[in-house]
Amino acid sequence: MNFKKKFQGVLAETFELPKEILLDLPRVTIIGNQHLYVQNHRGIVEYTDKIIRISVSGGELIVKGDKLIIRNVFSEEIFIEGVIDRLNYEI
Amino acid sequence: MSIINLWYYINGYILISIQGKGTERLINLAINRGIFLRDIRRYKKKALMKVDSEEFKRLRPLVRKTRCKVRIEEKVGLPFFIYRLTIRKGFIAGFVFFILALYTLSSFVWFVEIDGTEKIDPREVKEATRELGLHPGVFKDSLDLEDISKDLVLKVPDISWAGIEISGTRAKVQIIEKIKGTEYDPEFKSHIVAEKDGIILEIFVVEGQAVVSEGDTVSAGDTLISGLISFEEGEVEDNDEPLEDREKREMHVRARGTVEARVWYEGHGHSTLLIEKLVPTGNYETGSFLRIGEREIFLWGVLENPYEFSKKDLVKRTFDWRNILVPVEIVSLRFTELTAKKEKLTPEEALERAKQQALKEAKEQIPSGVSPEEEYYEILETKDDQVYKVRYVMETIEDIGIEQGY
Repeated sequence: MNFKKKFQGVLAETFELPKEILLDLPRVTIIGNQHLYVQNHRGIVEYTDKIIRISVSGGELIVKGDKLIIRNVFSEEIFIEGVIDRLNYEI
Repeated sequence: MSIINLWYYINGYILISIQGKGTERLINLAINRGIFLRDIRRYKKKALMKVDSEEFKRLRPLVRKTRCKVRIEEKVGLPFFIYRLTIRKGFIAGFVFFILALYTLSSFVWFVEIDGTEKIDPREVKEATRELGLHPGVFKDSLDLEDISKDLVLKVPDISWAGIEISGTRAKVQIIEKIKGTEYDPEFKSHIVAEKDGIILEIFVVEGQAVVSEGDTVSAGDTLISGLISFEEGEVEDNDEPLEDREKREMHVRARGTVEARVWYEGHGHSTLLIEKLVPTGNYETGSFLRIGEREIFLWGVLENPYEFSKKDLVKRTFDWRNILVPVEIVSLRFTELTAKKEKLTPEEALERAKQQALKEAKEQIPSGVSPEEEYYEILETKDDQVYKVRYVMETIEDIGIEQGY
């Protein structure tokens, strides 16, 4: 598994292919502390107005803040709005 | 309101609340099935979100699976609004009635306005239009405006042109009255009299009887062509009349013709050797004030004449913009000082000055468009050799006939 992953990593770098497509990684775009986009997620684990936990390949993305709302959910994308405090990865 | 929100509103969406431990699982399942959830918020223990009304149906089996409590909080959108409206049948009926009534009532004429009447009684015109079919309550489409306006001219004797315009529910009738005298009116009687004094050169009679002849001197007001034609015995060829009735017979006509005469215009002028002229000294004062409507507000400088003799120049600066007249203007004044300066003229200069004054006076009397046939001047004798007097005469040939009714 690790070997495969390593190989894929090298391949991506050599041909300069986008890593998240090849390795199935999430892409997180954060605008200020107000908007957050997560592309390539695997679902919502927990949702309160202070914590949102998103499942991604390899682990979880934890967004902590205040007044968090989910503007849109698509199968591949999730758009969060609110006062974002911190962003954690839990692998 | 953004475009996308408008779109959501037009389509219609439902605001739902989900409660329970399986809330997140439900959301994930919904995502997988392609059900689009928007504006997911936490409100106390519930999660509120907006979902399309059609897709909500597909949500139902998932709810059972995750064992959550789902409740419809609100139904928002145009389809729901229309549905709510259809329940209130009275409202719809009233609305439809309103539209119909508006359309129907605006298809009729309700006001008839007459414009352009000065001598004619507007009520007379209104009555005439009413008889022709134009009156309040008449159906707009049934009116032939061209026919009515033509009939109106024939119907009311003093109208020379009529135009009808319908704007909305108002019919505007514009009329132009006949100007008396521009057309042949057999009832009108008049003479041709002299407008000015002169000597008759030529008489050309179109209608009437000439009472003066060529070479006569006439004064203003004298009758030149009479509208009263009289016949004497023997001039009429009707021999069936009994002898007693053969008397002077009269006929009244409207006199017409031209009478050309020689007219004199005279002007006098005088001048002394020593004259006083007002000459600018070079000093001047300026001032300015602002006029708003009726009020005048002082701006700067001198507003009243400070010198003994001066010339006042006034310049107004208005703020009119195209057709809009603004009652605000800035007035600038300039007082140029003048002093009386004595100037000595030579006899020739004095004479010329007198002559020019006389010429100007004579010329002013001549009507525009007429040029003098002859001009001459005469130096008059004066007891004082310091004073020169000139008489200037201009002669013209004009038609001095003017119509005078009786």
